[in-house]
Amino acid sequence: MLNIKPSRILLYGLLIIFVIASLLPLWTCIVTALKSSQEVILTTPITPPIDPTMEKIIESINLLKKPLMNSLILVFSGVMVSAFFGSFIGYIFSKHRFPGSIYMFILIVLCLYIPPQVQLIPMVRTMSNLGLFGNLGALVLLYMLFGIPMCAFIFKTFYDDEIPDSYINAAKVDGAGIWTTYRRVVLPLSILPFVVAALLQVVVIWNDFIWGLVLTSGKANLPITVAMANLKGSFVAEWNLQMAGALWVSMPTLIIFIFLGKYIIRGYSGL
Amino acid sequence: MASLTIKGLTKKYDETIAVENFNLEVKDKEFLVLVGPSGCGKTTVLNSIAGLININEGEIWFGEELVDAPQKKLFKIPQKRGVAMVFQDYAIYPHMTVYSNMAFPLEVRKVAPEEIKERVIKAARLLGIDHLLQRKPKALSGGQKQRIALGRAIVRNPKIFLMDEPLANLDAKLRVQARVELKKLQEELGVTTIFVTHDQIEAMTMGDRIALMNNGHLEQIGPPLELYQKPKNLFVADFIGSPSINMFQGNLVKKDKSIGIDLKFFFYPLTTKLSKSITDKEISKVVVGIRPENVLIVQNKKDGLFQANILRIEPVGKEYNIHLEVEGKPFISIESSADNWRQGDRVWITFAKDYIYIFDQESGDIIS
Ligand SMILES: Nc1ncnc2c1ncn2[C@@H]1O[C@H](COP(=O)(O)OP(=O)(O)OP(=O)(O)O)[C@@H](O)[C@H]1O
Ligand SMILES: [Mg+2]
Repeated sequence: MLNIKPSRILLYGLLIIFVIASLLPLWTCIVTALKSSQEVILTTPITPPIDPTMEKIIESINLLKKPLMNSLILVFSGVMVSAFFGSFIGYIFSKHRFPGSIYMFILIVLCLYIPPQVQLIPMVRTMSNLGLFGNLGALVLLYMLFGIPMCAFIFKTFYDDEIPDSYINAAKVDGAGIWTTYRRVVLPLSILPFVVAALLQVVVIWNDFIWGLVLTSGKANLPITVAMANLKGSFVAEWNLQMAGALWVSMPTLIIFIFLGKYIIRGYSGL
Repeated sequence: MASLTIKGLTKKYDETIAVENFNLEVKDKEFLVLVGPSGCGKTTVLNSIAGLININEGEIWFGEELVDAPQKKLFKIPQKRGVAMVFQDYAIYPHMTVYSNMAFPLEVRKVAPEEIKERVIKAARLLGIDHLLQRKPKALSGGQKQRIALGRAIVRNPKIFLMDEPLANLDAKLRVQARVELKKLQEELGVTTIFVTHDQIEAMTMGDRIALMNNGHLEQIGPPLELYQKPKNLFVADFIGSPSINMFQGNLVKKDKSIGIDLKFFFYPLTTKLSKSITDKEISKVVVGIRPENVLIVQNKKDGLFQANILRIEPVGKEYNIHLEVEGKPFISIESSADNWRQGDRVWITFAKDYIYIFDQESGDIIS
């Protein structure tokens, strides 16, 4: 006889409801992407396709090829640059404090909490003045800079907790300057925070929509999220095409969360 | 190689004064032990010498060279001071092999690769760790790590060695062994060494001289036996020696012509010589200190004895620590044999005549 407590049954029942609720969008996305345009109109979004077709999935990737490349460029440049600067800044604020350094660090972290909406207009103006407005370059620069506070925070927390001051002091006494100590002692011990920071930045940059929408123009410069939104068509909503695009867009972050989610959680919980 | 002079060193952290007006002279090739209770400022002094912290006042000299003098706006950065330091946690870099760890200070100084190799191997042989050179530190024992840290310090031929409790993380047996080895190594290399510990046995056995610190001050400096036999004050007497010195509070009283100390349970008459030196001072409350080996248990009642109860007999190797109690006040005697007594016995006690210390209760300074 199986003996299960009623409270357990209730708990699992609730969990199943939550799981269904959270997987519903993904389900809709997949089934719609596999439907032909006629079927989309005739069936509800959650019914499985009667006659599955890969047509729209292939069509969407053809349309998204260029934006996909753009987003990859953004992710790589953004991640590399902000992780590197974040690491060095985190190192300075953790191991080479100076009077007032804690206030400076708080200012840097506060940057994380400025909503993008208030920065839109100043940023558009700055980018125009730099002659980058409308180009992919504007986004490249933006993500490099915007990633630094988060990375600096991740690295400083890691260095505070995981790298003893005595490592730095020993290097100092042995004749190593700030940079040599960073390169020879701190950097090789930073693999974990680099993974965490990189994953977080990949997800942030990949999913970002608003900056791509505002700062770039012309088909050739769009990041993938914006290009995907444009798939919906001008006169008739082509839901299947758009859902197919959404599948492509969400794939990388989904994979990251499923396989490397624990690193991202460490990032948010201060390693 | 160099001597070291510290004049009037003061270091404050916001409100707390870690070290105040600290003076120290270490001779060339000397092994000086800096000892004191936790938080007394030992690490602060060591870090000041290395240049790892900025001092508030004072001067630090390496031989004839002034390296730190905030009043003269002079501060030589640690990279340029030429000291080598061994940290309590050893600070061995986990991502480098033992070889790379030891080569690091030389590589940073751009020594030629062949010479680096030669010096690292020589130092490793000297310390008996040459078979470990290609290993990563993670898999090594505490004793081996401690040697690597030493190795990294000696490859550099430093002017001065600074060691912050390098033996504290070793187990008791290894520590005794490391003590001997370290001392021998220092004698061979002849490098001026300042060795920090809070363990008075380490201090007594290793130091050419001991500097005893308390509360950011230097209490006394001298050879180990001098601190043991001629403590300047209560703190020194209490800190040095294991088991520590017995102390009894008492009042100075005049009785007939001579002076004695009333210990409540016992009247201790002073010799005329002692009485003379004391009558000059206006002191009435004193503390009598007597080392456990000078507390004698005797068989029969005689004059000048008092009675105490045996609380516990503790065998420590070839000796016995006899824990005694008189009128609620516990004290200890060290005897070479304990066959005649048993726990709970009431015995007669005397103090070996010339070995008692008398301190002023108020200032703690020694009177005789
Ligand atoms: N960075 C710091 N900030 C504030 N106070 C400090 C700092 N470092 C040390 N202190 C204080 O200065 C005093 C001396 O500290 P120090 O580390 O020199 O003691 P220590 O003798 O080495 O002690 P231990 O045997 O525990 O290592 C202590 O009261 C300590 O709390
Ligand atoms: Mg210390």
